[in-house]
Amino acid sequence: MLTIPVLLQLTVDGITRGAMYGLMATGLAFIFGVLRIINMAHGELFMLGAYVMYFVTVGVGLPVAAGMIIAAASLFLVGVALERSLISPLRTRLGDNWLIDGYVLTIGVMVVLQNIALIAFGAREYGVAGFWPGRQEIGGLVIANERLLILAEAAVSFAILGLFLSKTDLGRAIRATADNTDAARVLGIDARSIYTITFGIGAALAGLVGAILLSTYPAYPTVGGDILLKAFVVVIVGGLGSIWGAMLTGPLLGVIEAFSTAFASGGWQNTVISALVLSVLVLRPQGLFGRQVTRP
Amino acid sequence: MDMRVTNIWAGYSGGTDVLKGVSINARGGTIVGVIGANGAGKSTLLKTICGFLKPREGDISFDGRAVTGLKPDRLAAEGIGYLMEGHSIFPSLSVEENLRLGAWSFRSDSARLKRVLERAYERAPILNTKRKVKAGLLSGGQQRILEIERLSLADPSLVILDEPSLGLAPKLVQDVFDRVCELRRSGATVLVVDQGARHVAAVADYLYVLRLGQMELQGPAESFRDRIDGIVREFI
Repeated sequence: MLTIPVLLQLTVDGITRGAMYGLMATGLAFIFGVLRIINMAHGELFMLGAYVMYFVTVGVGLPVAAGMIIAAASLFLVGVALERSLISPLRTRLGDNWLIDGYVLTIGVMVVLQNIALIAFGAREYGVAGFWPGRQEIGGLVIANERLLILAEAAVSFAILGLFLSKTDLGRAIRATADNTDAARVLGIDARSIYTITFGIGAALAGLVGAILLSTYPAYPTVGGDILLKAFVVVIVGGLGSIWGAMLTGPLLGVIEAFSTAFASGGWQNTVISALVLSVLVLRPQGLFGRQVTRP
Repeated sequence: MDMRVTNIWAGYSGGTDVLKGVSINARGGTIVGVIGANGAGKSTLLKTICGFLKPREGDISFDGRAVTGLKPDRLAAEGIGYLMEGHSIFPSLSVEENLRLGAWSFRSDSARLKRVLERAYERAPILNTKRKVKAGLLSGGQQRILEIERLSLADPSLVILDEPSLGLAPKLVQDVFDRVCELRRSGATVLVVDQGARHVAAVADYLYVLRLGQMELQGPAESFRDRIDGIVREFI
């Protein structure tokens, strides 16, 4: 069974699955890198994105691309509203020592959003079989069209985010604020707006992943828990606050999952991944791609 | 353009006042130096002027406008450049990206941006050769040069420098103070705080000696020059 095609197949499957973990984790790392908040409600932003995707594509009947754009855009607005109404006032009130409070706050947001979804949509699952049925054969590899779509969407999303952060004034200002907030403010950068926009972008990424993965994870109130856990693993292994680390570690995690499921059996992937997290925490606590130096 | 600090009382939250009625007058186009021992309140004074600390009492004005309690992100718009104590580069951004952010207040004016970037590279050729290098990989001296060029990009009319020579090799300290003199020549008012009292006394027009949160001495810098060693021994 250990033939090259099988290994290749597992690798491709893993990368596809992991690309979405990476995109999810990128939002989490992005928010942490700039706002220093661990967003426990990130899975619920994913859940909202999934609902938006379902209602836009299945409910209204708009095309898949429209569903993704509308999901990302509406979650951006949800993120902006959450930051402005809850996170920003808390930070202003508590000053520097607000990390734990921010953490507790996002746990509260998580519970509230889950219950809002439960009241609004009930516990039933809103899912789709797939947006692009069929499969492609590429050099002996069989890849479901849905997977190709996911892979392409991940690549495009990463590329847009990367270009935004490196080529635009706003992107550079966000990275500068993550590096040294006070120094950025002195140059005239309004840190408060940067925080709000950053949280919005992080939320939009979570919503986008929720939309893209609707065929795998149907929308229901607590669907975000599993993917949040995966995103945390990526962030810990890749290095907290490192966006590029999250982008690279996601696919790596997906491949490890695919291999451990294939060679051991279903369920073993969680053990292997927990062992990986523990090893990284003990041997390289800053993560595979994190910086060891402390920030100024 | 003159800057006036009048009877400032300020300190950190929960603590007692570090500054106890400090006043400073900086005439336009001059270098004003503040020297004093560790803990005298030099950095606290600059943080208060630049809006990182709120004064409990007192007024700060620049060019006739009240700027007391100004938010730090409004400094640039008021024409004030501030070199913070310690490191203020963005280590994960390239040298060029760091410089560009110094022009944040006029970022959409691409012609001016191009012009000021070129001028900065002329003044500091070492930055020109390292445009694409991550600023965190520069040496301590190069980082300081980058910080000073970044704050000069927007042509500030008031430049506030907190310990510009801290941690630099003696040769570089001289370069930094030469650059401070250039800022005055270009018309800026400079307020500088530094541990290197002799260097400050050598370039400043007017000098203040701060001790335990109060101004102990003040006067034209030349009146201090022959007795600076005595002052350093007594107060620093």
